[in-house]
Amino acid sequence: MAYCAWCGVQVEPGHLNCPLCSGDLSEGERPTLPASQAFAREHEAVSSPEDLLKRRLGMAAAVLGAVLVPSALVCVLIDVIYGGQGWSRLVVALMMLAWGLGIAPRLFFRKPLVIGLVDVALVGLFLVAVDLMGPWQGWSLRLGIPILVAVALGVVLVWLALRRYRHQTGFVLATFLGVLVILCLVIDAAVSSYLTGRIELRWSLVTLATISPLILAAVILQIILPRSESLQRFLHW
Amino acid sequence: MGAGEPAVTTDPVPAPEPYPGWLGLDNSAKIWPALLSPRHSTMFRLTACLAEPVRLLWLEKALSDIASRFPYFQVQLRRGVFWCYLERNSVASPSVEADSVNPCMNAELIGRGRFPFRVRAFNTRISVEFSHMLTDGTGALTFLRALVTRYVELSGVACSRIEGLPHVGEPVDPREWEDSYQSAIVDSPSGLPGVPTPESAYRVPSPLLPAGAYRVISGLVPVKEILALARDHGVSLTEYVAAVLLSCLQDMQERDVAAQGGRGRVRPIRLTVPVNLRPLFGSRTMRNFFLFVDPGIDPRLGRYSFEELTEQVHHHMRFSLQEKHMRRLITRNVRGERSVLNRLMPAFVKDVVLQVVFHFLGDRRYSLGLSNLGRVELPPEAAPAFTHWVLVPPPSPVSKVNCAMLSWQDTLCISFGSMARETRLERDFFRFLSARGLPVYVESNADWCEHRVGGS
Repeated sequence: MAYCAWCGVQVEPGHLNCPLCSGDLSEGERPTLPASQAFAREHEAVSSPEDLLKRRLGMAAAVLGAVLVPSALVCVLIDVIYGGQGWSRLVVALMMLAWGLGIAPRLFFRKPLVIGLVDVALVGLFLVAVDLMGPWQGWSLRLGIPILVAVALGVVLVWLALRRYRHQTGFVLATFLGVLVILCLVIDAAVSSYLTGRIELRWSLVTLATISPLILAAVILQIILPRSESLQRFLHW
Repeated sequence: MGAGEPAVTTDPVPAPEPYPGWLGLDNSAKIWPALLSPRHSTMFRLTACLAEPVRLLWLEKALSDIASRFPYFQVQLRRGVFWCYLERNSVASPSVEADSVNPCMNAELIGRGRFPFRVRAFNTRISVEFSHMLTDGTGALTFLRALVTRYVELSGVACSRIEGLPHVGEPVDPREWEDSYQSAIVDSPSGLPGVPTPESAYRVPSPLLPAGAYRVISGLVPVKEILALARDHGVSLTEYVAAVLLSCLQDMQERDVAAQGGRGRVRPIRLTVPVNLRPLFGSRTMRNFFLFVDPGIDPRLGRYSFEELTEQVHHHMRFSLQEKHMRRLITRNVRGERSVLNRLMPAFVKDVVLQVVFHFLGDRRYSLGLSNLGRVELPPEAAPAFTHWVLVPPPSPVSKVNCAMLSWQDTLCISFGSMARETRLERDFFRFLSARGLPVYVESNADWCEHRVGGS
């Protein structure tokens, strides 16, 4: 039986060379000792991840406030100095909105529905405030807020669908597309009502016609899928 | 059963359910279809070496006999719109193939009538090559044990039944085809702590062999003697071998850096060691159910002595092999699979995304894979028919070299599967063992693998 003196191993018959070394030489290395290591003597208090997140959100809100308030004050000052045209009101409203949106997650920690409602209310207030700044045209009430509410309700609906039909993608997809269509209808209706005084649906009907078959297909697929094995294996996801 | 035969203790088997016509890939198998290439075959090999030449007729008969006991392997891999899946194969079992010089390569795995595994025979060796898309080492070993036991039975030797060895004719437990990852996740409303992603590790710096070539060098060493060496350091066999590998890689990196005049970048050295999760979670599945632990060192902190390496590996393994830690990793993996975005992505897009993800987060983070399947158990009547068993790890063009081992009676077989031209790691590893007085017997396809790419 073949024996490789370099590697100190027996090699199965039939090999012309040692499969391991093929003539290479290894060199010994002298190990060195690592440096000694110091350890902390006391344990630090450890925060829970939730506390940490809360603290970070609070800090973010504080930083946001610290940035926004001086900026708003500077804008008001500049506006007053250069003729008081009132543009700084818009900046202040915008910054208040940003601050409100920033602080809501800290105030209503882990209550996404409340945070969403507060955000919608803040944006609505902002729209009304902007509308009030110029000559009152009422677009915020007749156009802005209906669309805002429709968007908010749509988001809630999709969220609920995701929770309810977590493993039924067809229904989730159908809900999403349905919300999209309803949103288009609401926007179209609100815009036409604002501009002409009458509700006239135009482009949103095209959207409805295009997306409806997809909604129907998603629902049918979701209903048929559990019953058809061949479809299941082809489309499993 | 005779009076002298061992008693068989098995868990109560639930009422048999029919094997479904198709199954989705399990969590760890889902990535492999995207990575299939001539160099990345996803296959590993188990070989039983007999004392006498294989009789092909007996082997064919044994294979067809046990096929019905393993319905979950009687499948073909198909591509769906979103994921690949396993579909019942109309053919009961693959036919026995002649062996080739390059194991685990040149396999057509996806398509009608193909099997994600093959049974091969050569001289005194019976081998099975399984794709990781189908099962892991434990599942493949169970299959091969059942196959060779049946083979020995057909040669006229009555074999007693032992626990954990499926037997022809017994009902199939439905738990054997479950995706155990799905039931091992933890659902915490507060979320779970993230798993840090390690940086890329040092890998054997060598050009690759030609596509289709896969060099295997196996060393046979006595179990008792290597176990005594491990016990001297107070560690298990796997930990000892892992420490030896780390030591060899550390030396190799030092030499490489020195050869570059000290300007080369020193990287962490990290092994990836698959762990069988079945005992931890009480699973009986024959599909994949494993995870990796990654013992390693960071030579940027200084050179590690061998004692430090054994300690490092030992404690890392003990720390990582906790149920809660494993649940955390499984949950992370399963959540990724279940995310709406991943699920809605068509398979061809998913293939590209998974290739990119694997490129950055896959084998680059590891220097080497080390797999230990443990001891092979067979009925005592069948044991004299075998000399040793071999486990060949799956090829990886990224880490280039992988290591696997399993033991049969008093013979431990440590195999290196390599796509690197150089054999420095294998050479250093076996020299390390022989320098400590271990007799090593080496088998290899090194002289032929490059010249017969794709041939048998």
